[in-house]
Amino acid sequence: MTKSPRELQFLIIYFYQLPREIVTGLSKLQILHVDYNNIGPTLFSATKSRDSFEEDFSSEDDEEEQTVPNQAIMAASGEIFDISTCWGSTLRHLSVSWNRIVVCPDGLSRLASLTYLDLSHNQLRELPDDIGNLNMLQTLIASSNPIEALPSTFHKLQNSLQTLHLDYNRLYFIPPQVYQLTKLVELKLNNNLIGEIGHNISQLTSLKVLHLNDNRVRYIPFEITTLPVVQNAVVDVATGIPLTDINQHDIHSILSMSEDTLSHSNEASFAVHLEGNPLEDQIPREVIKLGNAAVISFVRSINQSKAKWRRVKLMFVGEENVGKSTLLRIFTSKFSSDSAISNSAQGTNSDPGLSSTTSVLNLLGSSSVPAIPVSLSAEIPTTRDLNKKVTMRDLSNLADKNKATDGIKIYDWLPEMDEEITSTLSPELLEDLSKYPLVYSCWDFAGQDVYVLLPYMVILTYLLIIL
Amino acid sequence: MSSEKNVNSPDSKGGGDLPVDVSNQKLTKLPNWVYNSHALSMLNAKNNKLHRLGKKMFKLTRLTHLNLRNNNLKKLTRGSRLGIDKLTSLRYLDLGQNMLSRVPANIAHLARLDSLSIDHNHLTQVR
Repeated sequence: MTKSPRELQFLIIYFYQLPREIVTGLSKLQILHVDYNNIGPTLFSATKSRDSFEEDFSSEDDEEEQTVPNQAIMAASGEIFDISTCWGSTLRHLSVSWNRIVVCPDGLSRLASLTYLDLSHNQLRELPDDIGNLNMLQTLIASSNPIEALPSTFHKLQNSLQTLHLDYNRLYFIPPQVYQLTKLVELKLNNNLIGEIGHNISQLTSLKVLHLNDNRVRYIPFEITTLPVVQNAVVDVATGIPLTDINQHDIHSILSMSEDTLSHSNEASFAVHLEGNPLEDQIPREVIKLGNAAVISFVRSINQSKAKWRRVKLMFVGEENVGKSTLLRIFTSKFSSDSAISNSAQGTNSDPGLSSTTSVLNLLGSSSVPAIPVSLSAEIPTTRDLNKKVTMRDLSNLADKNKATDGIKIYDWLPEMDEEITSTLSPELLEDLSKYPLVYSCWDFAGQDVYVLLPYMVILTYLLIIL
Repeated sequence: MSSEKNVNSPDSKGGGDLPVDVSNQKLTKLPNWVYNSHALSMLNAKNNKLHRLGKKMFKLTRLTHLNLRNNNLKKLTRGSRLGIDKLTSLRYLDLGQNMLSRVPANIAHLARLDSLSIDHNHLTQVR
């Protein structure tokens, strides 16, 4: 009768270990496959096998049993069983995946002929410290283990290692040793906790496959697009033209391509896999949706189109007849009678990162026009300057010439540089500014209520509101 | 088992040096003609339903390649005097996808073995 779990007092599970005689006896062994068993916690038993024959120890087996040393004595002697003493120069291929191995066998890193090693789906926390000595190793599969870091000698595999799988481990970053593996052709790091791809990914010049699905990567470095495989792989099947050529200067062409074109042509064979990463800060969702090829193309085009585009959108929203257009005219010196005002309104934005900022000047009170704090960036004249120079008389003059704005007026305003400001800027920045000048795109809304909410509806990110 | 009849002998006296392929036949035991030639060097019996090895198997001492993948083998020996270790010429041995719960230590006597597969078995013990 079987006992129910409640009656069961203790259950001792001995995981199986391969008899060590295999190592000592099979001295010519080149290939060993023992995947999908329950071997553990070590691959080989530390002691000589108690059951040289698998029959139960009755009758004929007596003489055999006598030669077996006492297990306890063997264990107490602390004898280290080194698999390299017999297999050091013969074993080429060792595959022990899907077992319960906790510790790599002693001598593993002294198997000088080893070219293929599969340790995946075990319970290894670490690889042997001196694994770098396996200078013939071409393939290392160590997926699905709780590995958090690689041993420091790992980079010594750089002359041989071509395939490295470390999926489903606990890596918080791509181990720095990996970047030195210049022969690496296939690198799989899916389902780890990796937060960053290093710039030196470009050192992996042989790489043909890079899998980083389901990690925590927030930013894809431009260097990833310099991998030769990416250069060649991104081809639009519909046209046969490499996407690199299409998109070099035009991000929009990626977006205009149909999802089918991209997903069916490139995704299946595309070499870089980055699904399941929080890339939204860097890459628009619309591009992410189109798949890996589009994401890489986007990263490339962002970096290759070096032209800076310094534009700030100024949106004026408010009740009617409060002087929105008038204020705008003061800024843009469209009203040319007061040059002092126009000069004082010049601003320069030294930070290219701010160039996509949209400012909304929301004028709600009619009496407080001159006191509106305008501070687009540090270089813009302070409110105090404005107050000094824009008098109420000027404003009333301006208001006389003002007409109600019809709908939205949009025009560009290219402010002139004031010496007071330019003297504070570095020469490099000044030269850069002369090449790529700062342009304010002014959106002058009419005073109807319907326009008040418009900027909020159209623009959700990068919105700087000045009240 | 009737399926045994479906397996035709390559010739009346067995294959000699020719490889014998009795794979994919749903065999529960190997047909007798397989053992006719003691010179047999390659035997492919994968994808059958063998649950044990016949005594005659261990007399095929010239075997260099033995493929027993995907059968129902629970043991490799027939008493301690007849074990896999008698097949001393073996270089390739595939025991994958069987029901072996242990690897017999006497497999270590196969000194010429260069490829050993015991994947997908039941190498575990619960005591």
